[in-house]
Amino acid sequence: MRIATKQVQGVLILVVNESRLDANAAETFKEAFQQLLNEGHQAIAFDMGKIAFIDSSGLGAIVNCLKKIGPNGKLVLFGITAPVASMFKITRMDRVFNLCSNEEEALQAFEA
Amino acid sequence: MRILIVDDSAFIRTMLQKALEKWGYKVTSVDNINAATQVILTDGIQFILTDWVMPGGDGPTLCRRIRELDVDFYIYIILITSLEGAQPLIDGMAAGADDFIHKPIQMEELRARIRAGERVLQLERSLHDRNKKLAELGDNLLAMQNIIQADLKVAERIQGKLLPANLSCILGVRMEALFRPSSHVSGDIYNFFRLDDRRVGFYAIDVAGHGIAAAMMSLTLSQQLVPEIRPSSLITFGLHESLPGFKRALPPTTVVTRLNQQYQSDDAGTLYFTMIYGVIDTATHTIDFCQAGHPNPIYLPNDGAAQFIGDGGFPVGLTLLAEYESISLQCSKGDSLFFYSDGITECMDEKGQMFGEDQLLQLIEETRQLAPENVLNAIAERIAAWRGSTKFDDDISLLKLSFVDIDC
Repeated sequence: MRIATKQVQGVLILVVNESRLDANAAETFKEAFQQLLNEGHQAIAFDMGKIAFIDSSGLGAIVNCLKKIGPNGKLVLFGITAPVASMFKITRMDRVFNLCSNEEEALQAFEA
Repeated sequence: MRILIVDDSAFIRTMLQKALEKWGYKVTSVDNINAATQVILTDGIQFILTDWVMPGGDGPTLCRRIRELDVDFYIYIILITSLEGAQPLIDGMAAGADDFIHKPIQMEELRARIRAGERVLQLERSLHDRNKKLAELGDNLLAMQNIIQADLKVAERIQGKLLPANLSCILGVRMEALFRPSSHVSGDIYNFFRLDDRRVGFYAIDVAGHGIAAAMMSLTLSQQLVPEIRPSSLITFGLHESLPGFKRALPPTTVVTRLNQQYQSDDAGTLYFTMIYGVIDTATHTIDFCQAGHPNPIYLPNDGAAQFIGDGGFPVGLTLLAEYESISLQCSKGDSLFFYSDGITECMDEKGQMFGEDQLLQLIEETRQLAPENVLNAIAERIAAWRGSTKFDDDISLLKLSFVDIDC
């Protein structure tokens, strides 16, 4: 799984350069996220702009990340593509996650 | 190590034997190549020191014979030669010799060459041992895989028995099902059953992921979602007011909420499921269902176009914050409803394009003109054609409920 990170204004931006977040990728993604938490990151913005497909295992993995970051941390998702948005809508995850349209908006969400 | 000396000169044999024994080797010596072949086969000697020119067959002939032997160990051959130039070496190697020593033999050189050969044999032996172990391991794996495959086939039969027949009819509601597991066992499960004198219950469940872990969860769920009077049942509660032998059916939102409370795991998101649980009042043709993350059902009214109903909902087991609502639909005789797992809409063709909800809606509209018993087959065929195969990446299930005559 190709994952890139960068720090902007104290926020860690996580980019997954894969078109699918599915059963094959879910475990690796969870481990990578856990690694970021182990490194002490508590403000994470997840750039989902490249992900064109997410299945139930992939969705489970992101929910797992949200639970792991806990009440003291903050996870914001941004740039979600249309198919992923419709998956979020049907499972009501659009009400569970903090969704932003782009990086700038995501960074603002951390200032609040 | 044992070494076989092949030389027609008794003097050379004795000289070599003494030296080799002094260096710690066990030595056998013969004076012709026929005797040599015999000793190799009976004693399994792996190291040969042979003269080139001998009556009754020369050294290269012995080399060729040895290389033709059907033995499962390597035999290292040093040819003793008094011939000069490159050509004899080429011929000797072509015949199968590993190394050469020139006459007159320098004993220290011979000792070094024997040691080099010994190293080659040691390497060959360890490779041979390792290959043998690998072969054994391969056999074990194969045996183990056969056991797992046999177990999976049993599991497949058990799971098959938990599903209702592909066609069943209760109180004027006909249920037809399409089921294509992606492997032997499946995370998709559904059922259709009588709740009391006028109500029928049904569910369609898709456990996240597929394969064994998902199947085990779907089996547990099928044991809980039973209308019988048993304490583990999650869908009935208390005794029915007027019907002896029946319990009161719980409303769909209550059932799903109870499941959601029960299936919160420490490792959130690893094991959860989407579902639809519904109760049909056959006296009024009203259907009441709770949609928990499952795809939007398709409603095909007798007198109107196929349409999606529902607005999504939280999957079960993802979050305790989930609140569930029910959808109530007033139907008429001749209406049908389709509940399906995302294995259908997310089914990819070879270009990676998904079958999609719109295509499914259109397909269901098209199949309304077919005889009812042909509808699900036509849908199955279209999905298989899209996929280009009858082997799917995800479990596929589709439940069709139709309001028909009471004695269908």
